[in-house]
Amino acid sequence: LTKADNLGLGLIMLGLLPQVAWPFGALKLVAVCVLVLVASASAWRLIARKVHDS
Amino acid sequence: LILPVRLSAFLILWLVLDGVKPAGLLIGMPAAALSAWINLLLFPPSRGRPRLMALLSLGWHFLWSSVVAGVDVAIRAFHPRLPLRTGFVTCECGILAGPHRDLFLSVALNVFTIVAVSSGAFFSSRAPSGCCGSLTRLRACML
Repeated sequence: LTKADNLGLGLIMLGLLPQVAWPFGALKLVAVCVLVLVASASAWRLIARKVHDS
Repeated sequence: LILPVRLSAFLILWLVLDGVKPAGLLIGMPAAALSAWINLLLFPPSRGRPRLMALLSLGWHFLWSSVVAGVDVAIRAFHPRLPLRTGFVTCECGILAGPHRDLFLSVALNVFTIVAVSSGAFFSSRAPSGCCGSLTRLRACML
Protein backbone atom coordinates (compact mmCIF):
# COMPACT_ATOMS: atom_id res chain seq x y z
CA LEU A 1 0.00 0.00 0.00
CA THR A 2 1.75 3.15 -1.13
CA LYS A 3 0.77 6.76 -1.42
CA ALA A 4 -1.94 6.46 -4.08
CA ASP A 5 -3.58 3.54 -2.26
CA ASN A 6 -3.15 5.38 1.02
CA LEU A 7 -5.21 8.33 -0.22
CA GLY A 8 -7.70 6.01 -1.94
CA LEU A 9 -8.23 4.01 1.22
CA GLY A 10 -8.80 7.20 3.21
CA LEU A 11 -11.31 8.53 0.68
CA ILE A 12 -13.23 5.22 0.61
CA MET A 13 -13.36 5.31 4.39
CA LEU A 14 -14.62 8.89 4.37
CA GLY A 15 -17.30 7.93 1.86
CA LEU A 16 -18.46 4.95 3.91
CA LEU A 17 -18.42 6.68 7.30
CA PRO A 18 -21.85 8.37 6.96
CA GLN A 19 -23.42 5.05 5.95
CA VAL A 20 -22.30 2.90 8.89
CA ALA A 21 -23.74 2.59 12.38
CA TRP A 22 -22.24 4.91 14.99
CA PRO A 23 -20.06 4.53 16.89
CA PHE A 24 -19.02 0.88 16.45
CA GLY A 25 -19.34 0.76 12.68
CA ALA A 26 -17.21 3.87 12.36
CA LEU A 27 -14.64 2.57 14.83
CA LYS A 28 -14.47 -0.67 12.88
CA LEU A 29 -13.81 1.20 9.63
CA VAL A 30 -11.04 3.26 11.21
CA ALA A 31 -9.52 0.16 12.84
CA VAL A 32 -9.50 -1.72 9.53
CA CYS A 33 -7.88 1.29 7.85
CA VAL A 34 -5.14 1.53 10.47
CA LEU A 35 -4.51 -2.22 10.38
CA VAL A 36 -4.15 -2.14 6.58
CA LEU A 37 -1.65 0.73 6.83
CA VAL A 38 0.41 -0.93 9.55
CA ALA A 39 0.38 -4.34 7.86
CA SER A 40 1.38 -2.96 4.47
CA ALA A 41 4.16 -0.82 5.93
CA SER A 42 5.59 -3.82 7.79
CA ALA A 43 5.32 -6.17 4.80
CA TRP A 44 6.98 -3.69 2.44
CA ARG A 45 9.92 -3.20 4.75
CA LEU A 46 10.48 -6.93 5.06
CA ILE A 47 10.31 -7.36 1.26
CA ALA A 48 12.61 -4.37 0.66
CA ARG A 49 15.17 -5.62 3.16
CA LYS A 50 15.18 -9.06 1.55
CA VAL A 51 15.58 -7.61 -1.95
CA HIS A 52 18.31 -5.21 -0.81
CA ASP A 53 20.26 -7.93 1.01
CA SER A 54 20.13 -10.29 -1.95
CA LEU B 1 -0.39 -3.60 35.55
CA ILE B 2 0.78 -3.07 31.97
CA LEU B 3 -0.29 -6.56 30.80
CA PRO B 4 -3.99 -6.18 31.76
CA VAL B 5 -4.07 -2.75 30.11
CA ARG B 6 -2.67 -4.05 26.83
CA LEU B 7 -4.82 -7.18 27.03
CA SER B 8 -7.90 -5.00 27.43
CA ALA B 9 -6.85 -2.83 24.50
CA PHE B 10 -6.49 -5.86 22.20
CA LEU B 11 -9.77 -7.31 23.44
CA ILE B 12 -11.56 -4.02 22.72
CA LEU B 13 -10.00 -4.01 19.24
CA TRP B 14 -11.32 -7.54 18.69
CA LEU B 15 -14.80 -6.57 19.89
CA VAL B 16 -14.82 -3.54 17.59
CA LEU B 17 -13.77 -5.65 14.61
CA ASP B 18 -15.87 -8.75 15.25
CA GLY B 19 -18.73 -7.51 17.42
CA VAL B 20 -19.86 -8.90 20.77
CA LYS B 21 -20.49 -12.56 19.98
CA PRO B 22 -19.85 -15.44 22.41
CA ALA B 23 -18.63 -17.69 19.61
CA GLY B 24 -16.24 -14.98 18.41
CA LEU B 25 -14.87 -14.50 21.92
CA LEU B 26 -13.75 -18.13 21.93
CA ILE B 27 -11.17 -17.11 19.36
CA GLY B 28 -10.91 -13.47 20.43
CA MET B 29 -9.79 -14.08 24.00
CA PRO B 30 -6.80 -16.30 23.12
CA ALA B 31 -5.95 -14.01 20.19
CA ALA B 32 -5.96 -10.93 22.45
CA ALA B 33 -3.87 -12.74 25.08
CA LEU B 34 -1.33 -13.85 22.47
CA SER B 35 -1.21 -10.36 20.98
CA ALA B 36 -0.66 -8.76 24.39
CA TRP B 37 2.15 -11.20 25.17
CA ILE B 38 3.90 -10.60 21.83
CA ASN B 39 3.33 -6.88 22.24
CA LEU B 40 5.05 -6.95 25.64
CA LEU B 41 7.99 -8.86 24.18
CA LEU B 42 8.41 -6.41 21.29
CA PHE B 43 7.59 -3.22 23.19
CA PRO B 44 8.60 -3.60 26.85
CA PRO B 45 7.25 -0.89 29.16
CA SER B 46 9.32 2.29 29.06
CA ARG B 47 9.34 5.40 31.18
CA GLY B 48 8.69 7.67 28.22
CA ARG B 49 5.29 9.31 27.98
CA PRO B 50 3.48 10.02 24.73
CA ARG B 51 3.61 13.68 23.70
CA LEU B 52 0.09 14.58 22.65
CA MET B 53 0.96 17.72 20.69
CA ALA B 54 3.75 15.96 18.79
CA LEU B 55 1.36 13.10 18.02
CA LEU B 56 -1.30 15.48 16.72
CA SER B 57 1.31 17.30 14.66
CA LEU B 58 2.50 14.01 13.14
CA GLY B 59 -1.09 12.94 12.44
CA TRP B 60 -1.88 16.19 10.68
CA HIS B 61 1.38 16.02 8.69
CA PHE B 62 0.55 12.42 7.70
CA LEU B 63 -2.97 13.30 6.51
CA TRP B 64 -1.92 16.40 4.59
CA SER B 65 1.12 14.69 3.02
CA SER B 66 -1.11 11.78 1.97
CA VAL B 67 -3.38 14.16 0.06
CA VAL B 68 -0.48 16.04 -1.56
CA ALA B 69 1.32 12.79 -2.51
CA GLY B 70 -1.86 11.15 -3.85
CA VAL B 71 -2.68 14.15 -6.03
CA ASP B 72 0.94 14.19 -7.26
CA VAL B 73 0.69 10.52 -8.27
CA ALA B 74 -2.63 11.16 -10.04
CA ILE B 75 -1.17 14.06 -12.03
CA ARG B 76 1.87 12.01 -13.07
CA ALA B 77 -0.24 8.96 -13.96
CA PHE B 78 -2.58 10.95 -16.21
CA HIS B 79 0.14 13.15 -17.72
CA PRO B 80 0.66 12.28 -21.42
CA ARG B 81 4.47 12.14 -21.01
CA LEU B 82 4.40 10.15 -17.74
CA PRO B 83 7.06 12.31 -16.01
CA LEU B 84 8.51 9.60 -13.80
CA ARG B 85 12.13 9.26 -12.72
CA THR B 86 12.35 6.00 -10.89
CA GLY B 87 15.42 4.89 -9.03
CA PHE B 88 17.02 4.81 -5.63
CA VAL B 89 17.75 8.03 -3.80
CA THR B 90 19.92 7.92 -0.70
CA CYS B 91 18.93 10.27 2.08
CA GLU B 92 20.38 10.88 5.50
CA CYS B 93 18.06 9.40 8.09
CA GLY B 94 19.48 10.84 11.28
CA ILE B 95 17.32 8.67 13.53
CA LEU B 96 18.97 5.86 15.44
CA ALA B 97 17.77 2.30 14.83
CA GLY B 98 14.83 1.35 16.97
CA PRO B 99 11.11 2.02 17.27
CA HIS B 100 11.49 5.68 16.25
CA ARG B 101 13.15 4.81 12.96
CA ASP B 102 10.67 1.99 12.34
CA LEU B 103 7.78 4.41 12.73
CA PHE B 104 9.54 7.01 10.57
CA LEU B 105 10.08 4.52 7.75
CA SER B 106 6.52 3.22 8.01
CA VAL B 107 5.02 6.71 7.78
CA ALA B 108 7.45 7.61 5.01
CA LEU B 109 6.39 4.54 3.02
CA ASN B 110 2.74 5.49 3.09
CA VAL B 111 3.40 9.09 2.21
CA PHE B 112 6.46 9.08 -0.08
CA THR B 113 6.67 5.54 -1.48
CA ILE B 114 9.86 4.87 0.39
CA VAL B 115 10.83 1.26 0.06
CA ALA B 116 13.39 1.81 2.71
CA VAL B 117 16.33 -0.24 3.77
CA SER B 118 18.23 1.03 6.72
CA SER B 119 21.94 0.57 7.07
CA GLY B 120 23.79 2.65 9.62
CA ALA B 121 22.46 6.18 9.65
CA PHE B 122 21.41 6.13 6.02
CA PHE B 123 18.73 4.50 3.98
CA SER B 124 17.96 4.16 0.34
CA SER B 125 14.62 4.96 -1.09
CA ARG B 126 12.81 4.44 -4.32
CA ALA B 127 11.32 7.83 -4.95
CA PRO B 128 11.67 10.89 -7.18
CA SER B 129 14.74 12.98 -6.48
CA GLY B 130 13.94 15.88 -4.20
CA CYS B 131 12.30 13.61 -1.66
CA CYS B 132 14.99 14.35 0.92
CA GLY B 133 13.39 17.72 1.69
CA SER B 134 10.05 16.01 2.34
CA LEU B 135 11.76 13.47 4.56
CA THR B 136 13.50 16.21 6.51
CA ARG B 137 10.16 17.88 7.20
CA LEU B 138 8.67 14.55 8.27
CA ARG B 139 11.65 13.91 10.52
CA ALA B 140 11.24 17.34 12.10
CA CYS B 141 7.68 16.35 13.04
CA MET B 142 8.92 13.25 14.79
CA LEU B 143 11.87 14.57 16.80
